Amino acid sequence: MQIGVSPKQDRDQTSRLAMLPEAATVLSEHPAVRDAVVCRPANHEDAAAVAFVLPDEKYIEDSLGQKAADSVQMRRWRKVYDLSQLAKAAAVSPFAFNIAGWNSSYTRQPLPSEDMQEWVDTTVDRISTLTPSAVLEIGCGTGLLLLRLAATAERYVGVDFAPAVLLRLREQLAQTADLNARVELLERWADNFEGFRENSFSTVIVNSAAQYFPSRTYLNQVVEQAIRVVRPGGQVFLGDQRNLRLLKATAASIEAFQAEPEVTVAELRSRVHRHIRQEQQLLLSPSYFLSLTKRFPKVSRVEIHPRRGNRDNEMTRFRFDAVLWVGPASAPTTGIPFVDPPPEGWNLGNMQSRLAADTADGIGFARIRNSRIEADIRLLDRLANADSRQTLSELREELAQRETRGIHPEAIVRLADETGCKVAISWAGCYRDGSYDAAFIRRRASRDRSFPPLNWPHPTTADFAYYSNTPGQFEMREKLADELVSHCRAKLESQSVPTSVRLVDSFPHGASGSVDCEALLSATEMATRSWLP
Amino acid sequence: MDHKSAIRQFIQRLLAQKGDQRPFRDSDSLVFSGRLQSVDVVEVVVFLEEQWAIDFAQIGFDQTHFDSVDAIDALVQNAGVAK
Repeated sequence: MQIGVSPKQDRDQTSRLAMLPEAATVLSEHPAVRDAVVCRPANHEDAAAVAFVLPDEKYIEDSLGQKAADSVQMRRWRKVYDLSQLAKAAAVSPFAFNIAGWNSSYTRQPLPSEDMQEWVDTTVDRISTLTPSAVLEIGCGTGLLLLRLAATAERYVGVDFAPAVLLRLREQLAQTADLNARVELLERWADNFEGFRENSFSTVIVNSAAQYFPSRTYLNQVVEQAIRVVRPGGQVFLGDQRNLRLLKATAASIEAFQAEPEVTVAELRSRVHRHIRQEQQLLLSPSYFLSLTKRFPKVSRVEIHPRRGNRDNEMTRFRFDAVLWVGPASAPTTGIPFVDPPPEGWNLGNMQSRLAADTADGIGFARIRNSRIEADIRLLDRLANADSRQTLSELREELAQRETRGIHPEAIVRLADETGCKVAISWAGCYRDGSYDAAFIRRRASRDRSFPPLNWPHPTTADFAYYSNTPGQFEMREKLADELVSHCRAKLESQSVPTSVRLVDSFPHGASGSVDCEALLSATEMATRSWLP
Repeated sequence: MDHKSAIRQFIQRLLAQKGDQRPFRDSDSLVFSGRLQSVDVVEVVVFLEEQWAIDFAQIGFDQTHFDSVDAIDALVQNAGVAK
């Protein structure tokens, strides 16, 4: 355990912040604290000190009763899925297309079947490029992927926690003797890997399932086991992840859609805030997946792709697929430079010109503004700055005047086709406005369908402070932060007591190896933007 | 207490737990308006199962029957629960 900071680190020379190691040590004595750093503006001894704390998740689980609450939450989700199969639509579903229970967060109505068809097709297509032969699918549900992918696999094990869902899937499997023979279905929780040997699967799929896990601690257990059972050369595919970086934009988008036109900006802000606090699902930052290469030597690289698709829905707007490649490590392709956007941003015209002028085998375009969510990001920005008495209809009118300047990711794919290239699109950059990077490789340079490993633009150190939200724990964590302030108050001189304790998921480190408090300050202030009451 | 009052009271408590203190009428949309999520509907289902022994495996499940106090009350009536 690292307690506080060493004397050598008592002041980060590159920063305007001074560290308070004594306060960090006192905080670290509290059983809920795994590690802590405390800082305040340098040369301002009367300025407020801020503490950053890595909480002890085991303490939160056991002593604060979170484990029991998580178990209740998992059972609730299981019931949601079991109930969905009691609907008429589930009983009359066509083969491999039982979409009962897939509802829009905007309308609460079933998602259009065209949207779901595209969602299935693009997911199957992406997983197929991994050439899965022995598959373990956790959260196989009604078999939307399983019934398509099992046809070309030697072995396919589907796991789900909802018995009524598996019953429907068994009915469909029984229609095809061939599939029935090679598929094994198991009713169990996602973290139960009993009986699965090390290196026994080519691919583990956890698609659109992690959001129902109660916590990141639970996800960590599943990921660790998934990596264990995948053999070298295989992958763990964690698809359809809800993006933590876009949680505020998602909440604003949904709340504005559902709100009456006369709702004021103040009321809408309050609904967005409540939406975020009450979020029941687990949202993850791409940085969580990127951090896994450090935790698990068996993971050689990580890819983060925004969802494919032309349909406009919450999956294409706000979700991504993460692919963990299990060793052996292959050297990243060199010679593909990522070019920053010109002042006006990338557009299809200037990208095409660049591709025509450049004769290299590959070229990368960094920070392409994402037209899929441009309106949502603008709405979020306006919510932060607009007069609180303005109404939503006035806000909408104002925003409607603004021209879309971003590029749809599918337009990038079409551009690649037209210019004789293959393309990969990445969200590894963790840009807060949902921008993405795209790498083009000339087909003449590489003919196979797969895409070589690349050195994608990486997130800033601040992006490693938060990996996920904490569904169902908002109030408990707020209380814990208050309790930690009281703990310091009882043991420290008043000028050393932090006025605010911020719970984070990891400590970003600067180039010198010390904790980067500037990054922590910036990440946590971004997370608690002033307009959130 | 009649069925409808018991349902109304339960919904009121459920919304309050979610920090939603806004008033609602018996006919107001709760699910499709976004005030109740799918996991909240599970709470209503469990309430109906425990309160009046309604068996959803028998009567089927349709979230439109949970969209308002009026709709839930109609579901209870249709399930044959005595007043």
